[in-house]
Amino acid sequence: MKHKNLWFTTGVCSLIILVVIGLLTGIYHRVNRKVIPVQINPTQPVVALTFDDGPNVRYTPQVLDILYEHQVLATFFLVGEKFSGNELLLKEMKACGHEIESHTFSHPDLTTLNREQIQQEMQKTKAELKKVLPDYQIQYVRPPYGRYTEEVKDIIHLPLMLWTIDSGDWNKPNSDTIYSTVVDKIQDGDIIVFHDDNQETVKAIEKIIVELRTRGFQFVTVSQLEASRHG
Amino acid sequence: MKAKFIYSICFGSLWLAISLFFAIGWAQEVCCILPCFYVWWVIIGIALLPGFLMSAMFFSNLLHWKHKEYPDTAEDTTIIMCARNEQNTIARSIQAILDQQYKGHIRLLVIDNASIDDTKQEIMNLQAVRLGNCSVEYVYCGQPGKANALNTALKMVCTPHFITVDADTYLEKQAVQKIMNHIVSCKSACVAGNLFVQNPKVSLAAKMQNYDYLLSIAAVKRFQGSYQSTLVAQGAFSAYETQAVVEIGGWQDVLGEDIVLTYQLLKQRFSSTYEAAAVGYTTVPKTINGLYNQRKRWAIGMLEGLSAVPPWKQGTAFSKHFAFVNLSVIYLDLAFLFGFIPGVILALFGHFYFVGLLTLFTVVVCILLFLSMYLYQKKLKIPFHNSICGFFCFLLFFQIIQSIAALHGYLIRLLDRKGDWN
Repeated sequence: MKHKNLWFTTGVCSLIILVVIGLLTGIYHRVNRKVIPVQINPTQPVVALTFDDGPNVRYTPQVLDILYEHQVLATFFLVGEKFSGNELLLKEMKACGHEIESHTFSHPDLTTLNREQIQQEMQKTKAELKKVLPDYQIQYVRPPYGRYTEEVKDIIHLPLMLWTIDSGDWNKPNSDTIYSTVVDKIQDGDIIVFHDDNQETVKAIEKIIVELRTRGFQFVTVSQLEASRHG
Repeated sequence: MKAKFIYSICFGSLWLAISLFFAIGWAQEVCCILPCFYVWWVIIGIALLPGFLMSAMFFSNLLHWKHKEYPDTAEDTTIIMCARNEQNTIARSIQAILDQQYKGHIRLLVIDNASIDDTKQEIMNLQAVRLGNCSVEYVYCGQPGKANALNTALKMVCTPHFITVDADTYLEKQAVQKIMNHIVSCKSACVAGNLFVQNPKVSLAAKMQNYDYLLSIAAVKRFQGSYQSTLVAQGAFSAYETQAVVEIGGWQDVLGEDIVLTYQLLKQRFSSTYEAAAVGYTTVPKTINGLYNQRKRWAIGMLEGLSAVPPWKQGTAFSKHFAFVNLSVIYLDLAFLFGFIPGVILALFGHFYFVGLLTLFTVVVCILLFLSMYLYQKKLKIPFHNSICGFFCFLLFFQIIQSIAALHGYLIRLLDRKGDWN
């Protein structure tokens, strides 16, 4: 009897371990996604999709799924204080070839901070990123609300990267409004800002990608866009 | 009674609604990473359903906080004690009955169920010690099986009510008086007594079981008993109305004969209640293996009960509800083993998908329930042993052992006796 109980317990524990392995495999499968290939044709227009304020545990995975499905590269301007608990999302972004850039540590209006506070915002974000992706180098900073002064710019020491089209999704419109805001204005070389923290953006993204692709647009990261601009 | 039940269900539903509000966001987040069906299966099984059941039970037990006192009865009664190779424990159990402070006469029928040790000698020794209001009779039943022994004794019962006591259970001095007062006044067909652990110090397994009896089992019985639907009047210590038991044909020869009997009584719309003040101290398994075997038997017994009387065939709305809840325990065990435990392991890897801040929501209601039960049992002023180590081990490990053993029991029952539903 004792042996039967032991065998059964061992069997149940094995099943539990299998479930855990299955779940971990599912989780890590995302991290091991293949790099989205970059093939820029200089004769066709380019556009950079950028996402601010993430990572968001609920919506960022959905955005990443859509980008992966359509093989679209994008740039994520992330808030450092949100890295903890979302490490896998950062690894997934890197694995797919998306660009990770800084959107400060706690999303303050940088124009209201002093030199030391701004430096702390930058350093803490770098430090948090280093914990998850030790080799990754941030190339650009996007100041929250797009607000900065020349002094802020000097303190940051990294190029600032703003946008040319604001999708307006921060104002919580529906997906159709986000869609028309973007596609009505789009031009070659535009940088579009989205916020991957709401369902409407997720819905709009897919439609926007399909529409822009039919118009011949190629999707690049901000550094690829900068590189293409400078020859 | 009906109003209090509705209030309790409403309270449980309110808790469920609040939990669901948080769970939707939680599930949406986790569904982005893990399969959606599995996510909801786990969330319902480890948070929503247990939260609903525990909060309804907590609120109902609060509404029934005041313990009912019944007038003393002096009605003569019979105690049936079945024994099979119980030479080590039976003397103490018989002595506890001889020491009862009961106003009526007690006829103790000790059924020797084909023992091969010195059980008979132990009984004979005590048979000689006759006290004024208690007589001891030795009865031999050669056909092994507890149901056979109980049915043999049932034929000899000539009092309106009788009590069953296990040979490894000894009764507190007022236990017979309290349980008889209850059954005579309430006109229940059966009354389950309140079981404490007799040997809580012998091992860690026993220490854990001490709290299972004290906090979990008693809470469930109180909840069910408040609506005359205690699903298990345990054979270890319960009182019965003789006529009702005879009417349903006595005990069936199954592993959970006491469970099936109670289910049959409830099906016939008899009432089954619980008396917290009638305390018996039962011997619990000393080893984890013994505990595992016991819980496996209980799981088989539960399925036997559900198979003999499916929930939808129960007599009253209350007993239907509680039988359905019992049926849901199978799902809860599976969700615990294959949802909660993997969730804990994932949390160790830094993935707080199932076990995180929101899970504490269920823990809160669990603590409230246990605290209220502890205070209630303390209020009875009947001594029980406390052990901090036992309590924490009970909180952390008991459910794992119980769920694995129960799953083992379910499988044994399902594989051996397939398609036995009426």
